[in-house]
Order: sequence, then structure tokens, then C-alpha cells
Amino acid sequence: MARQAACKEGIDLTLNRKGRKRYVLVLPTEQGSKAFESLTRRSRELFGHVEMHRAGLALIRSDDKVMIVRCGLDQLDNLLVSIALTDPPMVALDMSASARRLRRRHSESE
Amino acid sequence: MPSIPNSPVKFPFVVVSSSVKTTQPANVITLTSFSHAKERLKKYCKKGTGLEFIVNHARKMTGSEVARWFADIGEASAFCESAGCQLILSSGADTLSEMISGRCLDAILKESGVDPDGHWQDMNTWLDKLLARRVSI
Repeated sequence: MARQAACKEGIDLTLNRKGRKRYVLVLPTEQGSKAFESLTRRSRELFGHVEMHRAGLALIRSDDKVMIVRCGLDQLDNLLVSIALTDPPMVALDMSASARRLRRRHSESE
Repeated sequence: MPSIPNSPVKFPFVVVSSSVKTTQPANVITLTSFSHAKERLKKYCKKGTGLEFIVNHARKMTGSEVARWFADIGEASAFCESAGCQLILSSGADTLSEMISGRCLDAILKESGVDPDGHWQDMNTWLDKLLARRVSI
């Protein structure tokens, strides 16, 4: 009833819905977890704790060459800025809405 | 190139300088701080000059310095529009790992208050015009 009322009033409320995510394939210059630490430190420094928490940054997978970082879609630009401005440098190689597709594309390109 | 070559060359080039007031007119001026160079740019910067910001420099900066750098890019963009110059955002990469993807450059432009699509279109036009004037063998 409450939702119907909200829709009637022109407010689109969706309860219990997960936010959209994006997975970014990153080429770090140091080891995966260490590189992720540098990235989160820089992100926190530039955009603050609140935005950082909102972005929900997570290290999904890392090997000796690349790492996959997850982030909320609405905070994607902040993540990309942080990737570009992190020292030691890292490169954003690819991006996808699913980690599996990203991994597949990466293995195909190798 | 730091200066115009004396003899004709077989490739297109632009003259890059880090100094606003140079003896030879530069096509691109590399800036570290726009607010410091603003007055000199108003005096000496010619129409059609590119004002370049290098992302690699910003990597070494602290958070507050980066915030200032973003504001500088926004101010420089407004200045370029009024003075007929071109804002350039470059990676300044020396190695492969320092390269920056186009999507990241777009995000930096957005963060600085510059429309990325318009910026890249202006860049294309500016570069085409600049290189069309060059005579090569």
C-alpha cells in the first residue's frame, strides 16, 4: 500500500535492492593487496571516509599481474580518479558489470 | 620539441615549454600551478596556445594539493574559453605503468568541472588546425 501510494505521488521507491556495481581490471606496479591498500588510502585522502564507504570498494581478485576491484556504479568516477592519481602508478585496463565477464575478456586478450 | 627545428623535419611536431614568457613562441605551455601563472598568461599567452596539465605531477601531491590542482584545471578551462587557448590534460607518462586510460582522464575532467566530450572535440579541432599550419617534407 505504501509503495503504491509512493508511486502515485511520483516517487519511485524500491526496497531491498542492491546498488549496481562495476568491476575494474587494474594493472598495479606492486603486489595486489599492497596496491589495493595504496588505492584505498588515496581514495580516502581525496574523497573522504563517507564517499569511500559509499563506494564499497573491495578487492575481488588479485594475482601477480592484475587485480579486480569492485565499486558502486555511482562512485565509479571517484575510483577512476583515485586509480589515475595513486602513487605508485596503476593502470585501469578494463571495466565490466560482472567479474566473470571481466576475467573472461582478460584471459581472451592474453 | 623544446624549440622549432632549423631544418625541415619529416614529422609533425608541437613546441612545448614550461615557461610562459619565452623567446620562441611555444604551442604548448606546461603548467604546475595555474593560479601562480595566471597574470603572466594574461599578458603573454597568445591565442591558440595549449595549456597543459600533467597527471603524473599530481600523483606526488597530497590530498589538499590535488584539490587545488582540480580547481586550477577548472579555472584554466574557463580562462582558455575566454582567451581562445586550449586546455590539455596529459598523462606525462614515461613508462607503460604511468599511462592513463581515457575513461580515467574523463573522470578527472568531470571532477574539475569540465565536460569531457566537448573537451576532446575541442582538442581534435585545435590539433588539426595546429598541425595543418606545419609544413613537412
